[in-house]
Amino acid sequence: MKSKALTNLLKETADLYLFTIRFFKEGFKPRFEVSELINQCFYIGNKTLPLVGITGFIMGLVITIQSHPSMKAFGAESWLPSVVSVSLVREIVPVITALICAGKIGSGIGAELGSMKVTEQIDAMEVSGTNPFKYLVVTRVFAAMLMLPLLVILSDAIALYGAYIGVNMKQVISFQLYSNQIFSKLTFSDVLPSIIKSFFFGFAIGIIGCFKGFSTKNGTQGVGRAANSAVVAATFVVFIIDLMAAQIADIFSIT
Amino acid sequence: MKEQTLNRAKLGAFVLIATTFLIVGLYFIGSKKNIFHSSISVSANFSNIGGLIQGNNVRFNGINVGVVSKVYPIADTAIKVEFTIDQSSTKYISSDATVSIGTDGLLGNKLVNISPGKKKSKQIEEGNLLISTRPIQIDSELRTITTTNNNLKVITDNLKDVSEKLNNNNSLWQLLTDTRVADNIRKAIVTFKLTGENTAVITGNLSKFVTDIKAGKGTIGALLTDTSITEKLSQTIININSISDTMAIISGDFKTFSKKLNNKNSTLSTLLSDTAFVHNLNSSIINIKDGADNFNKNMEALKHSWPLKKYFKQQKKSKQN
Amino acid sequence: MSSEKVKDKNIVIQIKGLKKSFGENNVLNNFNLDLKEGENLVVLGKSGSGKSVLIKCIIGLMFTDSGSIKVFDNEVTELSHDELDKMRVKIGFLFQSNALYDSMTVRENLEFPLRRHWINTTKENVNELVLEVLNNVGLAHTIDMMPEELSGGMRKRIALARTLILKPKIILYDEPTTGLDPITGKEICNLMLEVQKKYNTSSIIISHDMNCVKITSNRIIVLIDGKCYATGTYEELSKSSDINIQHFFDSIIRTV
Repeated sequence: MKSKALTNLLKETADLYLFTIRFFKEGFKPRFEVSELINQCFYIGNKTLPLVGITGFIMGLVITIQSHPSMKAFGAESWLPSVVSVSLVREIVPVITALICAGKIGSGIGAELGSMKVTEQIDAMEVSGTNPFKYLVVTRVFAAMLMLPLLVILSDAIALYGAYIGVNMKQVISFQLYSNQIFSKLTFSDVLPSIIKSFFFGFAIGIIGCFKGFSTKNGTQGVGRAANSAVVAATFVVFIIDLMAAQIADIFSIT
Repeated sequence: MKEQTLNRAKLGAFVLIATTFLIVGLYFIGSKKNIFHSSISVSANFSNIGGLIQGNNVRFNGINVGVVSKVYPIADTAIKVEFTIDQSSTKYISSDATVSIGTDGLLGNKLVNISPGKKKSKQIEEGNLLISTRPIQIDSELRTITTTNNNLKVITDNLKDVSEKLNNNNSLWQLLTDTRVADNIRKAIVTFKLTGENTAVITGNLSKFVTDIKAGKGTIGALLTDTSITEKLSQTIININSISDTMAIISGDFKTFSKKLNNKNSTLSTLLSDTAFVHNLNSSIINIKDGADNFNKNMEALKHSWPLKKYFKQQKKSKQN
Repeated sequence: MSSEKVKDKNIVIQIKGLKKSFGENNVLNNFNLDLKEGENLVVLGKSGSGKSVLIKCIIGLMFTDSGSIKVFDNEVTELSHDELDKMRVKIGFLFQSNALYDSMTVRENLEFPLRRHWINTTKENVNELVLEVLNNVGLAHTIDMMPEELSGGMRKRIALARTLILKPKIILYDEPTTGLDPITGKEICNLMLEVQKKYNTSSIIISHDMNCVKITSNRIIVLIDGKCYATGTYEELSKSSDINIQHFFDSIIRTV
């Protein structure tokens, strides 16, 4: 029983690997489904923004409120904006955004492609002279890759505004001073790795959602399972990528 | 079809806003790093840079004028620090300005401080090598204060040891003959001296430091912009002063005491000729007497009875009688 | 339409010695089939007997293990992806579950294969073609509806319209009446005959619905154990004394 589960896991990993290779093989060859890519960008970008924005705002606010007592205990209350902004931009916002997207986009793609698979829509596309891999998978993965960094940037901005409100709850500070403090502490090596990281988050979320959807079996029951396992796997992989990103940044001493 | 066009417009807005945020954010971060400003590059040599790294700020009279661009050793005792200075600030900095390494706040990042030159000499130029000075290292001062505190603790322990021995009723003579005690006292005095010296050095440094800050001298004044820290520091210095005063008195006493102990010819007589000591001894003896009396009473109680209640009953009875 | 009429016509699909297995399970084992021009060929078989696999192999959705499939003299198993796409323009495929794209309107569903295969078609042309096929299946009013708003029978008709929009020479029907009530099923079968006359197609129909088979078939192949078990017209097979064949005709009594 145990060995069967292990075999399944290994098989799935191998399949995902082959799926990823297929993505790179087909993703950069014409023909490019530009109009579908734009549609997917709209669904992944605009439709996820409200959720990501609200979460970002709350995270900024909460992290500030939670950090305030300990900063005060060290007598470093005036450092609160810079400390909070660095932790928001470097880690909290990219990861929270990625997790939200893993939940929303990952499950959405998994369920959509899963139901297309079981109702033969993917076969129908193939018959209609469309490469379903290009039309469905490549567009979605690219859309997720392009949109995630943008979502992270907007979420950064919203979270920093949330942090500003959080700081102002305990002390009065002008927006100008606040932004000065933030930008005096933030560096390129805080912002750029987090944005590069979110490219990979987007890729992982997209490819895992598509993989799970594309390999759906067992009818409608399988669709639910595909959506669910897409979220679980994407969430897990987001953390793995985050760990790897931290280590790589450490190796190149981008600290 | 209409809906699709609208969606595309929304997507466009989304992408534009996000990109604008990114560009503006990067601009603000970059403006600090001098990437988008024209600047000149100068350098200075230090014997120890205390953890200064690439990217640390360069300040002139307390305002940021540049960043450290490179740090590398050029000899076994020399580190070259290259840094940039904004073009707009160069006209206020003369080529004989001095450079030191400081700290942002009490525990903040390292930074390079540029102090204005003494003479009216020509303006700083690309590639100039500036004179470096060794600044007061606030963290090493703090370390010395800790050592002093530790020494004080050792002394207190020694003193406690001595006084315990003095209080111990039957060992006055032992005290006078015990070489270990004498050793301890000697050690205590040595430590005391050391502490006193250290304290003097620190006090000197710190008071100079504080005076500088109060006088508002640029380099150090920039370090400590928070006045509360300055006040705390002066309080510390006053405390250290008073401690060292007390130390001097105590160590003086002990010096004479130990001298007398070390004089083997007439240990006891000299000791007894010291009236203050005799007075102390007297009171000690009285204490000892009291102690002995109490001890005797206790012994009596033990002798008389088991359990103690009985003894007290008897006492009561005898009193009544 | 009698079987005599098509006898001397060209063969459009020729399958020889087709083998396909999933693991240990030999679904198709040395299967042979000829489809003549203008013929309605029904492949009769129990569920899981590999009927769907057969037509998916013909259109290149599944790979064969061995054997040859010739469509208009093209060897399907040897075609490149682009050649396969060109061939698919001439073959319509009606999926069992209709496979209408849920996220698109009826119009977009119908336009989809057009936009894919003939990139240069003008907007007016596309519109004309969409309306034409919708009229042919009698559902012109549904043009801006979403598939979820349609009934099962309507969806089947739209799916048929989508296969017709490319004006295919061959149509492959995968259980066209499954999931429909007998009356709607009969309507669909009549529509299939109508379409065949109008577009002059040849078709392979996969089914086990004997009512449908009775209406549509020119010839029947009984598929048992991955082999061509028997072949003949509806009348010939209904008189057969073979118990395996008789099973199929027994069911007609129950369903009508």
